[in-house]
Amino acid sequence: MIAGVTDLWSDQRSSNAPGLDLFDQPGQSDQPGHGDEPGRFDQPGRGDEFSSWESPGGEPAACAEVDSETALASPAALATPPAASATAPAALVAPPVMPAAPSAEPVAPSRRHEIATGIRLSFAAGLGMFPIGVAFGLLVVQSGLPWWVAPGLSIFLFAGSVELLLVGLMVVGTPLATIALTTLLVNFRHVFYAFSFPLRVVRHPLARLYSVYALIDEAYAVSAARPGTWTGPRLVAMQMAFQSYWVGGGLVGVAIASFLPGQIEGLDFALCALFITLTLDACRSRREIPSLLLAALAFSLALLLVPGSALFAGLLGFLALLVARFLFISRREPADA
Amino acid sequence: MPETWYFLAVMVIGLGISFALRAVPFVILQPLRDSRFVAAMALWMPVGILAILTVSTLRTSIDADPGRIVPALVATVVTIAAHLLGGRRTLLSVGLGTFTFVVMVNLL
Repeated sequence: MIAGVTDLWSDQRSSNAPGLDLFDQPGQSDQPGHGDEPGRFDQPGRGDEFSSWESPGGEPAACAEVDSETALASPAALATPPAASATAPAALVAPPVMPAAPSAEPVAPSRRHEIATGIRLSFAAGLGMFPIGVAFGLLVVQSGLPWWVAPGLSIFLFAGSVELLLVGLMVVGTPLATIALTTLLVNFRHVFYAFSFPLRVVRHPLARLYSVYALIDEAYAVSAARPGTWTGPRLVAMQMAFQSYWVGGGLVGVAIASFLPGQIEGLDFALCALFITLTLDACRSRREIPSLLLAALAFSLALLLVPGSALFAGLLGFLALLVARFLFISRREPADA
Repeated sequence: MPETWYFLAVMVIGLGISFALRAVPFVILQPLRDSRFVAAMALWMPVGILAILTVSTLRTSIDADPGRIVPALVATVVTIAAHLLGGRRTLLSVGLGTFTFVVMVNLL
């Protein structure tokens, strides 16, 4: 299964440039059911890797239930190829979902219909985003931060898990360098979204800018769950819906917090719980164990040596260990490309 | 409690980094796609980083008050159990775990 996907992907490498305007053709949209016609799309045969990818042995996490935060773990966690070497670039971009055949929809629908569809598609993940947004707003106020930090973070960063993390870091005035590194590492997964996010369907430059800015886990997961069906209005509408759930939830949380008589102690555990679930979702096979061990090693050393900045040092140390691991493996298997 | 300029600095830094992470790959897609190093990192990084963040946030939470150790452990077990047994529903697991912790910390 994975080998087949690898072949398809290596054929397509030459045609990719989703960020460029080369493929902007008036009236063109990713229409359902056309994925099997090479040349119909800007990426020939692109639909094929999805429709021919029958049963990937099931990573249903982002498929049936587009759970807001599990999407974080899905793309990279699911890039664990059973057979092919871990360095196959194709594995990196293996679609995170098991796609059913796209249902037939009316061809060339109106802009309003597309927007409505986009909003409708955002409901599943939005259902999770809103309550967590409320919890976020509550947490911000109860931590003692100014209320505007909640919508501020949600608008400037627009990345749920790192925002929750930053609340705790900001309260104690963590150095900006640590904040920058933490943001970089926690959000690093977004780097991989560009590979299969259908940005090319968004044509207006400003809309394109927004679409890139709003490329959150949920947006990626929902877009990847229905490949080949996206138009510009649909995609951007979905992303805007997500942002309104998130920012709105934060504002509601802030509002609720102002009515609460006292502190509800312990809400910050929501962050720990979130990361626990995310770690569980990312660790789906025994192949992850070496990484876990390296992370444990790095963080333990950091706790021992620099307890005051254990997070910063632990993350850096873990990265360093991974780089060393890569170099070690490349040296051992130079022919494995 | 830090000052306004600090919060603004965090937001600006956050915007810069987040947007760069999302935007840059669209520009240099090809080399990234071909890079073995990037592929390897994509495979290895997530679980380790998340594990470090989990332990770090747990530690921060416990440091706030030593009396939180037992509630934290119990709530962690509840979260893990809810997630693995309850069908990996993030909201459910996070909700149950947080609820357990809040109840234990506030009432016990």
